[in-house]
Amino acid sequence: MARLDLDKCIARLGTFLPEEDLRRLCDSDCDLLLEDSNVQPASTPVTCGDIQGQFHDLCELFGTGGQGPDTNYIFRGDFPLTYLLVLRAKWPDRIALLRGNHESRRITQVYGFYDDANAWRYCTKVFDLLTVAALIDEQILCIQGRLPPDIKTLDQIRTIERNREIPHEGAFWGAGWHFGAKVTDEFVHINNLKLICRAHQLVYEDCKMMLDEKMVVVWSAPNYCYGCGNIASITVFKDVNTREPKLFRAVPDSEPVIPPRTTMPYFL
Amino acid sequence: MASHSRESCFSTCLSSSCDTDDEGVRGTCEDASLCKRFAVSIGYWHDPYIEHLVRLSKERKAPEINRGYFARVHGVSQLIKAFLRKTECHCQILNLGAGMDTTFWKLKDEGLLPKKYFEVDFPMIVTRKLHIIKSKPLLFKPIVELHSEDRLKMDGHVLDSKRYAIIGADLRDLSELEEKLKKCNMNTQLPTLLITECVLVYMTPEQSANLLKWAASSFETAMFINYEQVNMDDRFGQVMIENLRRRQCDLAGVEICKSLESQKERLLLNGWEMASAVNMMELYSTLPRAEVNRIESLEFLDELELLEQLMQHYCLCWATRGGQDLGLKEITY
Repeated sequence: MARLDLDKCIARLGTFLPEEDLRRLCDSDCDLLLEDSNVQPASTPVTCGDIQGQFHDLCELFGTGGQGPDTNYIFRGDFPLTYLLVLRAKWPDRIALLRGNHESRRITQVYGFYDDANAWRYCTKVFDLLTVAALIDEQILCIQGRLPPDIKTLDQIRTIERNREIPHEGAFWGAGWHFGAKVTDEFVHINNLKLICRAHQLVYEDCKMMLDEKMVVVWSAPNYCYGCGNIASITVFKDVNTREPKLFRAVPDSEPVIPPRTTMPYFL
Repeated sequence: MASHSRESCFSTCLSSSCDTDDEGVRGTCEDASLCKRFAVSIGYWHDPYIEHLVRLSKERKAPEINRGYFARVHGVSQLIKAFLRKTECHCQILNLGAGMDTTFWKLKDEGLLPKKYFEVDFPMIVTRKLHIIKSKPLLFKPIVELHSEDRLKMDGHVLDSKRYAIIGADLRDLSELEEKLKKCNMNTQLPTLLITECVLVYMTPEQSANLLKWAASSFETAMFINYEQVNMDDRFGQVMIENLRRRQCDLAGVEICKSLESQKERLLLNGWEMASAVNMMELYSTLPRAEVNRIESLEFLDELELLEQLMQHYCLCWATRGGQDLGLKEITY
């Protein structure tokens, strides 16, 4: 069988990948992801962002951050799937994909991610393998969501069996847990970290420093569900001590078709 | 969202200059109906009638939307029932901008019908609803059962019966509205409940003020329930306005939706004696635990913040006038 032509896939993005290509893409990504640790090492300079399923905004993000492969990227979960799967396959050492909450099977069932059962199966295989965290220069931890209370060390994160469905409770996160200063302090201290960089929170400020400079919340998905109008930012870590938020706005709607699934999430 | 408002009406519809402008607003009936139907299909609340009036959307609605509609339907229903209890059903209900609402049939099932239940909406929407009612015995029979004479009064966009009437009219044209209601034997002497669920925001502040004033002056003992946006001054609000404008849906009355205070104030300024308002997140958080556990187990919601944010931009308001001996002032959700 001919090798999956990744460049062709990239050219097609914005339209649906044919199922066979999607399957092969997911397989290549699975092979790569199996190699990843739960806490994937990364080194500066690197850009962190997370995107909640909006393809057009992702393109804008690349515009702001600089398109790969010259730049390193860490993406926390909830991304427009096919684009990042392709990028990950093409430049595996430049792009890390961290699992977000939108990938888990349960959630994709709820949100009706894919109509086609096969496509859904291929993608969930990838989802199950997505790593949980990235560690930049051994000092900055990137994670989506909240630290679960029973996890105190990086090694504990490393030993989680991530190749399964995300549970509601237990490790990874749970809705309703909040990052407390004490928890963060402890974690940062025990693990000799400088910073925890997390997402998974709707904020209207682009990059919110909280908890005595030990945590930065980065929100990169502007106009979440086209309803909230966030200005989003990514964070560029030049080195462990130097970070720079870069802002980008939601792509105006005059651009290509909003996928029919994203209808107005309002009460009318 | 305006896709279904281009009806082939056999009757001549109002050829006002606003007709095409109203398409976006009429489209909101479709959207709200689809969302309610979808939520019912998942089990959020029980409504055996909605499936006959509204098709099932192929597109899943997000959990926060389903939960939000649950809170809306629940809140409005609680207020309606409180009014019915206080008046011992010796009253009238006017559901203004009712769309595909099924409250009449549900109240009948519960033995809680007022003396008469009126629905008003754009003629195009009423025509469509009437067409469906006529074709479905489940909807038609209850109306006929309660009617005493041989023939119901029915034409293109009016149905009048003893206990139920549905009228096609423009809520901004109060003389037309009043005339049509009177033709259907609306009784100004009865304690009357008026309901607007996402209706006032689509008309100008002046038009909604006039409607409120008209209601207050028409009925000595009355209650008004209003559900719509609130806290719209922030970014979320601005984006909503912009997004809806792009769908040809103009929130002409959004200026009143600044705060709970402005919502209450506009009721008090327009003839109502007592006004209350609550944002939907607060209402949601005071729902009975058993109900909340039940609905929250129907679907997993990961982004709680999104629900909160959305709900904080909607409110349930109610106002009363008269009815001291009935204790209308005590009504709450």
